[in-house]
Amino acid sequence: MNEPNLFSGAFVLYIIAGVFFVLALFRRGIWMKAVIFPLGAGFALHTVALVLRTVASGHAPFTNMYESLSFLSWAVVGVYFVFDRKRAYPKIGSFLMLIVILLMALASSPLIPRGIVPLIPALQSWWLWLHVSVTLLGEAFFAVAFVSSILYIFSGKEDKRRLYDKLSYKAIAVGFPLFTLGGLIFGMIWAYKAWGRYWGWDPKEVWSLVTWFIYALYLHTRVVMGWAGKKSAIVAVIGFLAALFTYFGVNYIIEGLHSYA
Amino acid sequence: MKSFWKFLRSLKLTIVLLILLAVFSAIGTLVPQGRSPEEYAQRFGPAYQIFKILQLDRAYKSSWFLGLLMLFSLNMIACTLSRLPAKWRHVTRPNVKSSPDRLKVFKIKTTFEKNVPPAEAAETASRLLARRRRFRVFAEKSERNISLLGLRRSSGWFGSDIVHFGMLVILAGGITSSLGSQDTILPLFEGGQMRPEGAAFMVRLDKFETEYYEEGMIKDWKSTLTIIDNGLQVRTGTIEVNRPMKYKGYNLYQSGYGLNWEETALEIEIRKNEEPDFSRSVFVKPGQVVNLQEAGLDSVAVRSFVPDFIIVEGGRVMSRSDEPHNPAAYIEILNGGERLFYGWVFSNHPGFKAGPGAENSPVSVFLKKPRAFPYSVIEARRDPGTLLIWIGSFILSAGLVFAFYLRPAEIRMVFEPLAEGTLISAGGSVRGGAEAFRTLFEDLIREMRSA
Repeated sequence: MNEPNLFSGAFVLYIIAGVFFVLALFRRGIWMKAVIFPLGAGFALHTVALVLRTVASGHAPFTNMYESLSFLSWAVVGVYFVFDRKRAYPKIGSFLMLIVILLMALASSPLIPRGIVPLIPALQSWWLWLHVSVTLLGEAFFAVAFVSSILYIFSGKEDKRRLYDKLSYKAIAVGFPLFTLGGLIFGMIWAYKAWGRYWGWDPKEVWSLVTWFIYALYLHTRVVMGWAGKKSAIVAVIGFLAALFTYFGVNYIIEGLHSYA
Repeated sequence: MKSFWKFLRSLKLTIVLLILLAVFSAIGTLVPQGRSPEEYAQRFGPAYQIFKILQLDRAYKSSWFLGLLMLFSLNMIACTLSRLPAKWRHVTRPNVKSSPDRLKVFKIKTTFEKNVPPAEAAETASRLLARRRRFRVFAEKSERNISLLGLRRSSGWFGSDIVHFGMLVILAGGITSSLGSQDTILPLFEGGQMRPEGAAFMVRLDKFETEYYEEGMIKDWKSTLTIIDNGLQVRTGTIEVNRPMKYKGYNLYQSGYGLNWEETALEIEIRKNEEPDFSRSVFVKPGQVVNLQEAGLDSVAVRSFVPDFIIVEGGRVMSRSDEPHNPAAYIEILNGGERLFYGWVFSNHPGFKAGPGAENSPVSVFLKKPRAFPYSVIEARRDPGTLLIWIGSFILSAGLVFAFYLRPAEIRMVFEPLAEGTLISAGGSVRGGAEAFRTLFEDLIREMRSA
């Protein structure tokens, strides 16, 4: 088995898991139990794919768009396992799988080159591992918060809404420290080592800061001002959109130093 | 004065500032920063006047952005200072005295009777809280009852203050950097030396190497540098990308490399169309005129050279990069005051005749693939703000751990004497993650009942 096959295998299994999640919306017991098989198998294949890619390329598996999309999908699946240990939230599972499938589909698209490219000098650093993996992990938690917030906004039942509100906060409470550490602090350290300055108002830097401001706003309005529910959910959705823009938009719309991924 | 303080410490101000900072930071990325006025005028037309007033061409150094950051800092200081004393009191000298009524506000609460005197029941509770669960226990006795307070992980209350303090240190680092940092670009040939701005020492490049991958892409640049301080060679070391060298507060970075096209002599071959055996090669630097002393050929001049030829809007010729991907030279050959040949010559396309000056010429001109002499680009940077940035980052990270993972908990109890035994009211609260705390609370009550 080589990396592209394992990746495709994981992709197919994630689609099956997505179908199981949707079926679980109607009959929760059996399908939420069964979903562990395709999801676990997909995650295992995906993990092996990432390891093989690392071995083959000799560098971290997130140095271009294809690799980082693959890693982000993997992180979202991993975060789902951690977050819904009891497998009690089929709706969250469905929507997260939708995000994973979209990310994997984007990674598979012919527009995104898949070849292994040697690292340009600036990327040859151990900070690549720390900076990118911790940031993407934080963003995977933001994805969970995004899904629960969307569900909050469109859900009618009061007890469900309370649950989604709580889940959204829990995800941000984990994602925010990770994003701060990985995205901003590790980013500053690496920028200092590679470019000689810790902060240079590069568009990607600015957009991570914008994302950070929005999640800081979420936490302040919630913890100190007692916001919850719809207002909080909207802030969490905007925060995730900013995170997505930091991730994609800056690469394709605005030119800057972070032009690799 | 008092209302100004109130304004500064208000959370509404924080909210407004976070939104404004997010919006203004984002706007700054939509407009390219720090370009020349001509470029803006060409790109945005009359709209340029508007954002010149708004200082959008240097958004992150504009007075309004710095003003926002200043207000943001003051807001953080004010919020923290106004909350800190009360928090400190709550943790060190808390208000212990309580009553069954007041305990009703807790979400997690219970009331039960125990067949021992209040003092003994309180003693048991205190032991179970302090020894088994590491609560700090405070007790206060009044005529009617005994109040007990247990606090755990109180340092978690200061998480947000620590985060804010870390942020302020980082901002102070930013200010220090923008006031005191020095940045010098040192383009150095092997053997060359330069002095970084403001430094007392010289940097000499001993050796410069470019490493390539098998695929031909650049893998790394390595520069062996010698520091010359006070006439003495004090240190020699090799730097590469991501591995700078430190000396006397300066960091020396391998920032890139350059190719010295200005000093590169281009090899030009001239052939006469009517004399197939005639061929003359000559080396000419860009801008130079070389006399050929040949019958029918007086001189050859390279008017312009680009290593990576491209035509941009308006027919202007530019170089896409410094690499010799598509080297082209504008060459003129003169004879007796008339132009025998003029036009662009491409080394990748030897037969191509660009324009009438080449097409109608009696000579053909060829440009050999040129190779420029590479030089190392070293960046010497002194940034006194960096240390503050690392200290601030460390404090901020620690604060985040305190704020999110140390969940301060509080348990209050009131022991009231009954005709026989004690009526115990208990209530507790924790910041976040109530499930684990609920278990802790229930276990505690079970143990108290059975003790």
